[in-house]
Amino acid sequence: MLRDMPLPPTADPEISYKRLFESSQDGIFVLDFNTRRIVDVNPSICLLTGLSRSCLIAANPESIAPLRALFRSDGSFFEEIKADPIFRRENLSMENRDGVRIQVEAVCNMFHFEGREFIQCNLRDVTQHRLAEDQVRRLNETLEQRVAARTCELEGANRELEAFTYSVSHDLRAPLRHIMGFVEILEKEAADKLTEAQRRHFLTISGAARRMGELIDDLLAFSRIGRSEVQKVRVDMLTLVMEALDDLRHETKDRIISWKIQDLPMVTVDRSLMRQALVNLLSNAIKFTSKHSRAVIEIGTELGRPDEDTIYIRDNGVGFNPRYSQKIFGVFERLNNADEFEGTGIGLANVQRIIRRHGGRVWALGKVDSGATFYFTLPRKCQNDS
Amino acid sequence: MPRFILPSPANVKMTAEAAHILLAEDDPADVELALSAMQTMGSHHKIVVVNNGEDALDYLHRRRGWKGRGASHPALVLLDLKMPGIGGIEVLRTIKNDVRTRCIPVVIFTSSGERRDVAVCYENGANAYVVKPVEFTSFVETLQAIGHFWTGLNVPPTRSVRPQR
Repeated sequence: MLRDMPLPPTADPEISYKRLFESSQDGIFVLDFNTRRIVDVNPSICLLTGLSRSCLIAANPESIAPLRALFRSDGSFFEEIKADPIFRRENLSMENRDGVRIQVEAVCNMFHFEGREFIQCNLRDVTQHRLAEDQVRRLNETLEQRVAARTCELEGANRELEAFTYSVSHDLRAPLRHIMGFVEILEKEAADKLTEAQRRHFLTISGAARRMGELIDDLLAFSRIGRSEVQKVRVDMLTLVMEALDDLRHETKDRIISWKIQDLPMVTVDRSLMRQALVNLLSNAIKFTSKHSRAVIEIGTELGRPDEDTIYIRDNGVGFNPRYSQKIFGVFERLNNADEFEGTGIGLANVQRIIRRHGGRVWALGKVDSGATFYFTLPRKCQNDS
Repeated sequence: MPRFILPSPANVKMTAEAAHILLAEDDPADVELALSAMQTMGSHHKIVVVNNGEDALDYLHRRRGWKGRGASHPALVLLDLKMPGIGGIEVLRTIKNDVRTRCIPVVIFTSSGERRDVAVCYENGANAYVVKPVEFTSFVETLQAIGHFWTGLNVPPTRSVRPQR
């Protein structure tokens, strides 16, 4: 009934106490200090002990098996509580009414009422709580072990990768050098005996070997980007673009390109990695506008999320089929015929790797024969190497 | 009939006194390419070839089969890194840690420009680090440039100048 009614503003303290006592999840009993008999119990203690109110009232708590854990036969409980009126035990083990071992937390305190001393004992079943704690502790321990094991695995894999690239770098080049060297020597020695077709075969062999050399070099450079440390500095994007264009002057010297370069933001990047990404993006734009008599390449920023800068490089070149807009960032992916445009197809994979290592994103929009726009973002907040 | 006669302890006497290059290279194909490159460019300097690290050190110290060679140091040691037994880096370290040999210029000539190799070589006193080009034309030009610089332009250390301890 009380439950359904709003609490009166000046609640009778006795009613409040009774409400708490009756509804508490803790098992509560009250002892008379002098007679050492139970004088009051709440429903929860009946549930906990499996004994009815009538069985508990006037009983000696030491005679009630589940409560015995609290009272030693030497009566030390009463001495202790006399000395310190707040008595606490955190890890009492007792049997509940079903004979199951449970973990109990006990808080007992002494109070005076009408010249007599009473002890109120609150017993809380913390079995589930302790189990959960244990489980969390065990999970933490195994988690640490698992993290350590995984770290170890990753370090191992890294070392293997390191050894692998080292071996690729050393051992794959030598046979190529031999193929190309001896093909050339052979070609010279047999020069006057070779037919036109045989000369073409020699060219094919050297061309293939040269291309494989380029692929190996590009793959190694790609792998190096993944392994190198990112050392960020604050730098003007425009400066980096200008440096990248300077690197590419060889590719632009016989071209008429109309450059539209907007104001670009200050960014926090690894200078050499970002310059490499820009060189790749710009050389792409230069390459794929090469069949265009009026090439236009635009570099600018676009409004995006407030926590990052969005930079784009737009060209009016051959574009690409939008179906493949993700595929173009893959290693050795090429959307054009190899003989139409030079390149191994690793440039954009490098770009993606570099931007991701800076915590940014990269994507491309385009259509066949109507140019392409490459976007990348860089977080504004100075982040550590991800 | 072999196209190239590799210098050996037996025929080295006639070449040892001239400004010469010691090529330490275990791969016979690379040796042949190097000698072919030298021939292509009409090189006048001699190349002595050893196929492993032990032999390179024996040559420099005139030990074992090299006792009878001339007294002069090579103008240059052209050193491959990946060799069986004593590898290139150990040969480099041994040369540069020995007062008798440490003034001999050593140019690393190897397949890869891996950063850590480059760093280790310079730390151990390499005088230069050159990556073997994959293309034969570049390979020839590179060897030509090395030969031209180290046996032509560069003034090699003479044995009379003893480094002070």
